[in-house]
Amino acid sequence: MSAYVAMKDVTKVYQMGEVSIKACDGINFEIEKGQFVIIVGPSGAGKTTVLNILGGMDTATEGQVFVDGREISRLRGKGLIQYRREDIGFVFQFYNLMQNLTALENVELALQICRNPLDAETVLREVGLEDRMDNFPAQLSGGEQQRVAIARALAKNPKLLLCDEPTGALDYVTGKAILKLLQDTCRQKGMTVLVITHNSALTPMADRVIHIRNGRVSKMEDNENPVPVEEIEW
Amino acid sequence: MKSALKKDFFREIRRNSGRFISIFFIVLLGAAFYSGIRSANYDMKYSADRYYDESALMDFRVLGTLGLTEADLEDMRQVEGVERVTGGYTQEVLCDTGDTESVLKLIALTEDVNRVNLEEGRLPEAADECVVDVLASTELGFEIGDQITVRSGTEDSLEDALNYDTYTIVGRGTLPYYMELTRDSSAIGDGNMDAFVLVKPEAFSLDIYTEAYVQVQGAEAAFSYSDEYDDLTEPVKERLEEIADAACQRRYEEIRSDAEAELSHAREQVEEGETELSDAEREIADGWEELADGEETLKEKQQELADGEGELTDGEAELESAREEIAYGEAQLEEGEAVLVQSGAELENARAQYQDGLAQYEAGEAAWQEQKAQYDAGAAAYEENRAGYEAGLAAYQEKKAQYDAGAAAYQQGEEEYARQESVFQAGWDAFVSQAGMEPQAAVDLFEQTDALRRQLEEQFAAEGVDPSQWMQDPEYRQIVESCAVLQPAAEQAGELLEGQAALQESRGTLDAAKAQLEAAKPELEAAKAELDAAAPALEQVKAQLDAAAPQLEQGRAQLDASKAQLDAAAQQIADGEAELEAGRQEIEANRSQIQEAKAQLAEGEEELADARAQLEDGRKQLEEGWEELEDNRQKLQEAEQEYEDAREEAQPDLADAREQIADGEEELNDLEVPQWYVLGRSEIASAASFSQDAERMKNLGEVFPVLFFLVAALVSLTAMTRMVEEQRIQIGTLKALGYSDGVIAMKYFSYAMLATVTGAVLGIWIGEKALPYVIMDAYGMMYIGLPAYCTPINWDQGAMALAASAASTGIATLAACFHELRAKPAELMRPEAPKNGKRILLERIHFIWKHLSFNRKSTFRNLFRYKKRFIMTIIGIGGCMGLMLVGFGLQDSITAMAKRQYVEIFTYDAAVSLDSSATKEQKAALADYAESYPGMDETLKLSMENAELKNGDNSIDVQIYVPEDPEQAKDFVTLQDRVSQEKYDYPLQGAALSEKTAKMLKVSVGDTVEADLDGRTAKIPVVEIVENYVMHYMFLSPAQYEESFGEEPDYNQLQLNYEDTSAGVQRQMGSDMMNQRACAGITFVTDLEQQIQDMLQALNIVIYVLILSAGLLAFVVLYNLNNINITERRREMATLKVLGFYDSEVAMYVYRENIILTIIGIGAGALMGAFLHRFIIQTVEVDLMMFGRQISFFSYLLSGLITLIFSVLVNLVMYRNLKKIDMIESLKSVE
Repeated sequence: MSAYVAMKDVTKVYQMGEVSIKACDGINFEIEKGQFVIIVGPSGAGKTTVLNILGGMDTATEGQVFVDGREISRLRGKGLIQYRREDIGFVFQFYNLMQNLTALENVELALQICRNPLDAETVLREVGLEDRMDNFPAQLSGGEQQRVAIARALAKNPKLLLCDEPTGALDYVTGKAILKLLQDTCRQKGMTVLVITHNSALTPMADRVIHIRNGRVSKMEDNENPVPVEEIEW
Repeated sequence: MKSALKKDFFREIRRNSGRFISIFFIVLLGAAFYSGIRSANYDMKYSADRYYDESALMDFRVLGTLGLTEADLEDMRQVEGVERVTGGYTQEVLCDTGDTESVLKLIALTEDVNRVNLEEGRLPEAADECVVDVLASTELGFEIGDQITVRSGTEDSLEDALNYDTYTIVGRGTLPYYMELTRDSSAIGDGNMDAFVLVKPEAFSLDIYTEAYVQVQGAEAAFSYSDEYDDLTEPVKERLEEIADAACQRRYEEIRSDAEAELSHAREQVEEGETELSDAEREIADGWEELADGEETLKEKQQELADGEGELTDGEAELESAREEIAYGEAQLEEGEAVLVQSGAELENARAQYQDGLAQYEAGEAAWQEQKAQYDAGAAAYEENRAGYEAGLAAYQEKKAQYDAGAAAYQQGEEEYARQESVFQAGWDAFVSQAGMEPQAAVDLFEQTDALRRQLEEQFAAEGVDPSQWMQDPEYRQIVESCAVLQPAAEQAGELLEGQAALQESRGTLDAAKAQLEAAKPELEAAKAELDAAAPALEQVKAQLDAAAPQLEQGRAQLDASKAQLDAAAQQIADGEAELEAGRQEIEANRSQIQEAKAQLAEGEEELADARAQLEDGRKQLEEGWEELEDNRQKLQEAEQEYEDAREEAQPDLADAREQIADGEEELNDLEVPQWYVLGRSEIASAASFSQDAERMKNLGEVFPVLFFLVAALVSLTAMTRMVEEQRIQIGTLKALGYSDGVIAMKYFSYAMLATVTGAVLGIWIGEKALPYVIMDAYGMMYIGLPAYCTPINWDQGAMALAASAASTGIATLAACFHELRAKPAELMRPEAPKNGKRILLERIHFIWKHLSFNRKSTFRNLFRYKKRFIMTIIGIGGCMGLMLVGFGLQDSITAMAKRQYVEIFTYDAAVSLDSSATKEQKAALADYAESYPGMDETLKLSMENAELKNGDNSIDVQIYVPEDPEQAKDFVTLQDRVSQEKYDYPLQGAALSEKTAKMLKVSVGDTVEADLDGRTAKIPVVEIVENYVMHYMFLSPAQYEESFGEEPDYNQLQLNYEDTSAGVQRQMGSDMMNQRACAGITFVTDLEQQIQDMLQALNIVIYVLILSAGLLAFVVLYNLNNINITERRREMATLKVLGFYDSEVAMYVYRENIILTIIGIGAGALMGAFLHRFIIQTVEVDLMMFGRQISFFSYLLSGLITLIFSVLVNLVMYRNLKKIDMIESLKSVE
């Protein structure tokens, strides 16, 4: 119970008509506060499902999920929304910015609904976009857009930053920069960051690596000395 | 299409059924409304044409000012293109209905043309039967079976035109040329014909036709309101008009020569009359002379006759007394005979009764005999039984006696025995006690002793001892001694023993008797029982017999009695017959006596008759002579009187005749050549106005449905475009797989076509069937007689709607497809770069932008970001709002019209029209009466006349309104400007024109118009143009009128203002006014208002259809646009959800835009609607009316509210869809 985030025997079954698909088949892992965690596994292993459940976008069929001592697997409806609203920052693969809002406004959009938000401009400055605040997403590069997305997630001051393939749509260099931003955020702000990727080359940079295969945690390892992202090549 | 694509195609439809259905319904609505409204025009005309064809409506009605003759008709028949000409009679007459006087038009029924459409009852069979106008039953209260009496409305007598003045109503019907609810104007009565009455041609006594109905070859086949029809009939009309001059000339000559002949005939007659008079005078004088001669001769003859008559009278007296005697004798004879006959009958009757009685008696006798026989048989049987019983009884008693005797003998024997036994017992006992032994022993002892003695004797005898010595032997002696002693005892004992045996024997006998008795006893008892049993049966039979005996006795007595009666009756009858015979003989004797007397009388009579005949002849001759004389005298006197009368009469007549001849000559000189009027269907009021109404629907169809359709098309094409855009990646994939552009486009095109064509076809069908029907049904309130509402499919409108729908969605789909397909597959595979966010204009206005909340900002940016959608939505919502507004606005205009006209403009309460035939005094009396009528506020005399106004080529019929006192007029009519509502004074100089009139004449204030009032023309300047909605008016002052037309106006109307306008008060006032001689009629403004309201009800229904359709469209459009909006932005919504927006916040994110769009749409719609309304009003309104131009605030509010409500409803429905958006969607790559 000491762990900051814990998943216990989480299973998720999707009922697709007559076929039932087991996306998670008893997932167990724990994450400590301030850790940089990478969940890795091949496509269809169930990592996105884990992310969805953890992010409050989906509910587990069975098992328990705890975040900061709160059992979120029990939340439903409004409780889940509140959980997403207050506790989770989400970074999408395709950034999912409001095209119609400037970078600053996109961050502000998230702040609208948050209780203790950070200042939007500060956060944007922190992600290195002090010059692009008034630009619309279409005027930004992919990396910049992802920075905006990260800023949007961070500005909510969440307990947990969930990133779904944050570099998936980015080129190598930009991807690296984004990962660095995430790692730095974790280190400097003590933010618990969970990154989902299929790229196992990234694992050395994490404090904890959780391997998922066929809906189960196949391996969980802690890196005593995480490697800074600059030193990783893939 | 390849089969995989085909599968994909159908799955697409199934998966996206919402989109498919919404396109389907939008197209359906659009096509239905478009083709339906636009078909109404044709369908109305088509239905009318059907009716015209069915009832064989004439193509032309030819009227001749001097009537039409058979020759005229024949000429018309010869005209090329004429199919049939039928002569017709009509006559306008007056009829009193309740407290009003109605104008009826009698029309002769025709078979081949203008057939009546019977609604109820039958056609007339007799000349005094009629079929009345359907209107007559509703308006005038005529019922089938009623009789209507008509009278002439002119100086000419009714008989000149009609054979009857009373007609029995046998049916109700409609005529194809009287479809409207109003009838023609009339030349008599109040100037308005109220109803037509159809009678057989025989009812007319006219010798020439009043009009002719012409049917044109091929016109029935042609569509009545088409150019084809016009092309067909127009030349015929011209040709008819061509022959008119010659025919009219002939008619003129004919009348002229007739009249001349008549005149000369009249002249001759006058002369003849004069000669006749003098001839007659002479003849009369001759007559008197002859008469005197004849009288003399007659007197002589009369004397002779008187003598002969005296003789005859004597002879007759004698005969008379003889005749009386005979008559008396005969009467007696008759009486006697009658008595005889009666007696005979009575006798006969008695005999019959006797026969009956006899028969009954005999039957009774037979029955009695039978009963008797039965009784005897019963008695005999009883006797027999009884004898048997008796015999049995006797036998039994004998046996009983025997038995009893046996028993008694036995008893006696027993007693004897008992006695003997006791004697014997006593003897025995005594012996025993004496002898000391039993007798037997005593006997035995003696015998033994005796035997011993005999032995000894024998021994002694054998020994030869003398018997006497024997005694010496002791033994012997002892023995003899013992024997001696013993002997008596032995004897006694023997006796005893004998007694005992005898006793035993009698005992045996007794026992045998006893046994015998015992045996006989049961036998006896059985016999006794049998007898006892037989006795009661016998008793019963005996009783029965005893009972039957007196009955039989009684029957016998009755029979005997009736026999006696019958015998007596027979005797009576015989007596009667004898009497009768005697009577008959007597009568016979009397009759022969009388016969003789009669013969004598006859002889006498014959003689007398001869004498009388002679005398009679003489008298008759004399009487005849006298009579003749008297006749002649009378005739002569009469002739003299007649002559006197005739002369007296003839003098003025002759003078008149001479005068008439003079008049006739003058008239003849004045006689004008007659004229023909050839009137086509377009000049039939009802046919023309029906076609105008149809045209009005056509006008309505020009704009309204087009707009409606455009909105629908716009929305459906947007939906298709979006669909193609959404499936960009799929298109790219297909393209990458190597499918050709055409095949790919075909998929979307087919999808669009399937939805559009099915929707359009169904829509066209529904629309073209339902809408024209509803519209015609609405118009049906204003037109009677149309038997069926035909709604054929109008292929042209349908094709147009189908083609337009198909084209709009098809082209849009193809355009969208090819737009996408132009790109390289690789580009297509990548998600389309999302539309860039842009700064909007508003942001430049910093102080506003700064003050907007964050949400507002994003809303505004979003609004302007999707410009296409923005415009589509505005047009969609605005279009629906506009259409609804037009609907409500039309209703406003129409309802406003009646209200404004009759409440605000015409402020009088009733108008009394004055009888033109009344004298000035009578009119003045009416005015005074009205003025002093209780509750009356004010009255105004005014003149109302029809005139024609002209300005250049434009002309129009108006009513000229001239109040006697222009100052007072403001209380009766309000002259004001429609827009500014500024009140005008009544114009003292120049004219005030009603607005529509001015518009149609194209004049404005300051222009002059040319007025034509019954041939008097004048140019009058227009000084005011005033608000007015119904009819055309020109308001003039009396001074202006006089100046323009050169004479004072004839005040023919009285307008009234009073306090109480309730129905009851008005009815009372109406009948009070009508009782005044000068009152020709009264109309109440409340009635007029109602009438207009009723009339416009038809349009109201059409408007409800519009409003309903617009509302439906609004809903579908809003739903569709919202659907597109949400589909497009699913990803955004999903992201917002992931970010932790509540559902309501997510919804608001969309709704905010929708609300703004709806509000803007409503605003745009209000504008569009107002313009459209203005345009439609002008096309819809009738020449005689001006509809209100204003849409009320309430209508704006209502249509806005309805649109808003629909919007809210749609948004609520959408909320469900929003909630369903899956957050996972945000994770997917952009598709």
